[in-house]
Order: sequence, then structure tokens, then C-alpha cells
Amino acid sequence: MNRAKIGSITTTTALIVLPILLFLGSFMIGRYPVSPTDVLVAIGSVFVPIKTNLSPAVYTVVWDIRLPRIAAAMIVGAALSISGASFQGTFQNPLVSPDILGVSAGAGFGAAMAILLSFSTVMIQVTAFIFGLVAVSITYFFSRSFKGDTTLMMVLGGIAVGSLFSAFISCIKYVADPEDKLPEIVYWLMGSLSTVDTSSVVMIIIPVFIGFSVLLLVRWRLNVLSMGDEEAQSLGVNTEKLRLVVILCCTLLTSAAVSISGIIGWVGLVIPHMTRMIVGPDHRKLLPATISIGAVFLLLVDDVCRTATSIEIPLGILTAIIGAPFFIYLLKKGYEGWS
Amino acid sequence: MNQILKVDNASFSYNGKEKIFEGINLEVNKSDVLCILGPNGTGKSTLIKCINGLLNLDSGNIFLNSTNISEMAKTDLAKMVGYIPQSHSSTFAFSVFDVVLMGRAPHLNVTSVPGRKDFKIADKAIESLGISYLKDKTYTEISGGEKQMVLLARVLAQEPKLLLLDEPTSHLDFGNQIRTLDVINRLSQNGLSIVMTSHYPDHAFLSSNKVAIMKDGGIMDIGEPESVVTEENMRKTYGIDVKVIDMDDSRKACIPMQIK
Repeated sequence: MNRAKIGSITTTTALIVLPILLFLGSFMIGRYPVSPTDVLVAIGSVFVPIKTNLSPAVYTVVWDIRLPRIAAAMIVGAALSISGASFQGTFQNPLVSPDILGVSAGAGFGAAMAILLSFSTVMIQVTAFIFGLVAVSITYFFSRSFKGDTTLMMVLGGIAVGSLFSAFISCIKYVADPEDKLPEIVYWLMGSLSTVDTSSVVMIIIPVFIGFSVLLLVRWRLNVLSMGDEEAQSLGVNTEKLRLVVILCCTLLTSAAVSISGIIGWVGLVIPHMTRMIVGPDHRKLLPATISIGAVFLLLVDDVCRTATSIEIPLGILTAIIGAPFFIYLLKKGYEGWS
Repeated sequence: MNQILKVDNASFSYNGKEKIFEGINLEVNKSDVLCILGPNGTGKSTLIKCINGLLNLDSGNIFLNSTNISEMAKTDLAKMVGYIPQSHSSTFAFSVFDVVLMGRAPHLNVTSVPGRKDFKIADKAIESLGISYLKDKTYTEISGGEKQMVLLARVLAQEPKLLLLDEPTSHLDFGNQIRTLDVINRLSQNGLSIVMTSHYPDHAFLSSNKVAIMKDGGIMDIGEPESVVTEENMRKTYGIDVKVIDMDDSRKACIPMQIK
């Protein structure tokens, strides 16, 4: 009992300290060298009036280049992970990922269309966000038109809507100018944070804040919902309403994430499983922990993406290259989160 | 006279045409254990789900403590009625304690997490069934008999007035069947009312003070076990010959004969 308690305190501390350390550490990584003290001074001097002799270049690197990118990586990683965990609980299915209802394909279509029409970076993000919501709405209302098992219809509907929007993306790729538009669309779809700036992070703050807080508020109910609809209803849970709330939140989060990062696979599937191995399946602990681990994971991968080679590696490629073998390793190690 | 449940002229169909059952009347008082017998597919489970508000009647009414359940909020209904489904599995490997704690759901509002008081109630439910040794085990890894006890603990943490058990003994070994019936008896002595379905007429003698036989969408017979579980009724219900014998002056037993 005592050892278990010490273990859980250690885990909690690690889940809080690790993201902070990595957040600060990531400022030092990159082409332009910034020392640890310079980072602290550059950040601190904005809040505390201290005299510094730092060059403006250091400020620019820390505040305008690295901070938005680091923040974006952490937010996107956390958003995809908590959505994945919530969806897996809601649909009582450990194989579900956040884009199961078609949000990624919808957002991808929105972005591809915006690129084709030469929209600005901000408008590409806005269009992607909106079409992510549109795709999930279509899935949702399609499933509601059925009597009976709407959960199954929702998952099947999501697959159909997802491939419909994928087909639209292909159409746009086909007609796009292969000299400039097509590479841009392809690059966007691979997922990357290289175009992120302060305004894109600011843009997604509200939907992300709503998504995180509501999911955290209802997190214990997700335990009950994950036991199956009938049982949850017999325990007085309004399953339809709760599921709608979860879908709304996850869609806000995923859509916001995808709109600034492009399509990043695997994070929303692997991180919830990894977290379940560490803190167990209780959503009271699971959801906060996925935020921490998701943020750390994607920030680490993005650090590698922007520094490992002289050209940027697209983030989505690296998450899959790391995520897929890692997932197999987890399964091999005897993962018992699903019966 | 402490009436807990009244089912009044209830009928139900899944598609609006074929009635699953029709004209069902039942009454359950405080501390009653009602055992519903009947062949497969006569709507026993469906009736249980209607009482629980999981399915809605086509016509007729169900009253809990004289309140029509169609006028009750789902959380209020869940505070009154606990339900254990026929078969059960969990996708995720929750601890036994977490599963029992879920019984507190109707007593907490949507955004709250269980607190110290809820932990205590869950602990008490676990202790009262003598399964404290299971508390920290993983729910997906314990045996069927243990699972049944855990679900009973969960339903006790729910603190209902009426317990609905859909075939509580069907997946259990011989010993666990009898142990489950023993728990049912103890719960009813503590003032809980219980409605359960069963495929074992003999279990009615062991744990019930009321038996109803459902057949062909209606109630064929209802009353005390001694007057309902008879050789003739069993033949009509299941199409087999049985012997109902006196074990001693307090108990009867129902034993099937060989089919010739």
C-alpha cells in the first residue's frame, strides 16, 4: 500500500515536472544557439523589470520563433491525446482514434481547398477548422437518422464521411498546379508545425480551452459510459447527451489541432494506451495524464523534426515512424488495458 | 403495506406490431423477492428493462413508490432501482474498487468526481459482501463468480430500493449460484425488494417469496413458490416432466425427469 502511494506520487511529480523541463529545454534547441540563462532572462525580463544586455535577436528567437512552435507542439500533442482517450472510452473501443468521425479528412479537405484558392495562412487554418467540424456534423446527423445502435452507425458513418472527404482531397490534388499548389497541399497533409506563428496559437486557444476544461469536468462519467450504454443508463447517466458533449469537445480540440499542424497520425491512438499503462484506465487520472504525456511526446518529436537534419522532417511522418513500432513494442510487452 | 413496484397492464413491442408481452400485472412489496420464470424468448429480460426505464412500454404503466416511472428523471429512477444485466464485460481494465464506485453515479452531478463519502459507501458495500480481498484486483481478470459479487457491490453502493437481476445465476458454477441466492436472501432481509429472472425453478424455493411464470407474452401464473412451481405448471411451461418433492417440512425441490 505504502509503496503504491510513493509510486503514484512519483508518477504525478514526473507528469508535472517533465513537461516544464522539456518546455524550457526546447528553447535551447535549434540552429541559432541560445544559452539556458539567456532563455530564462529573455522570458523573465518581460514579466520582471530587470536590466539585460541580450541582443534583440535572442528575443526574436525565443518569443517569436521558438515559443509559438513549442506551445503549438504541446497543445497539439495534448489535444490529440486527450481526444483519443476520451473517444476510446466513449465508444468503448480501444482501437478508436480522434479522427474516427472524419475530422482529419474534413480539415484536410478544407485546407487543400484553401490552398488551391490561394488563401492566406490564417484563412487556410480557419477553413481547415470549419471543415473538420462540418465532417463530424455530417457523421453525427447521419447516425442520428437511424433507430437503434447509433454508436455503431456513428463509427461506420465516420469511416464513410472520412473516405468521402479523402476522395475530395484527391480531386483537389488532381486539379492543383503541380509546380506550386500541389507540393504545398501534400506538405500540409503530411503534418508540420513549420508555419506556426503566434497568431495561429492564439487562434486555437479558445476552442482548445473549452475542449480541455469540459472533458476534464466530465472525466469520471466517462468511466461509467465506458462500461456500455445500457449499464450507464441504469446508473442514471444520460448517455446520448454525454456522448454528444464528448464528441463536441474532441472535435473542437482535434479540429483546432489539425488546422495548425496538418494531419498527424498515431499520437491520438498510441498516447492514450501508453498513459493507461502508467496510470491505469480510470479517466479521473487518465485524462490529465494524457495531456502531459501527449504534450511531452509531440514536443520531443517536433524538436527532432526541426533539428535532426538540415531540412525539416514533416512531423506526421516522424510520429508514424516512431509511433507504429512503439505501439507494437507496447503490445509485445503484454499490455492488458483491453480484455 | 409498503408497495415498492406496481406494473399495471403493461405491454411492449420492439417494432409496434408483434407484442413481446401484453397485459402484465405485478406487485412487489418491501422485502419481496419475485422470481420470474419462463422459457427463452418470452420477454423476461425485456420486462426487466422496461421496469428500469431502458425500454419504454407501448401501453400500461409502471409505478415505483406510487410514482409513474415515465414521469421520473433518469437519475431519480437510478437512485431507486439498481440493475445487473445478464452478461457483462468491460473494455478497460478498471480496478474492482473503481467499478463499485460507479454505483455512486446517480448521486453525483455530471461534473463532480466521487469524494470521501462515496469511497466510504463503496468500501462498505464491498465489505458487506465479504469481498474486501478483491478491492484492488483488476475487474477484467477476476472469475465470473467474483464479477457477480462485484456487480452486486456496485448496485449496493447505488443504494436503491429495488434490485433488478437478470438471470443472476446463469453463468455461475453450482456453489456460486447458491452463494448468490444467499446474498439475495440477506439483502431482502435488510429491506431491499428484488425482482430476478431465472431458468432454475428450484431457485424459486431457495430464495423467493413470489414466483411469476411468463409464457406466450403473458403471466401464466403468479403466487407463492409452493403454489406456482408445480409439476403441472412446469410441464406447461417447459414441456418436460418434473417431480416436485418435499425435502423436509420447510422446503420443496423441483427435479427434472428423464425425457423418454
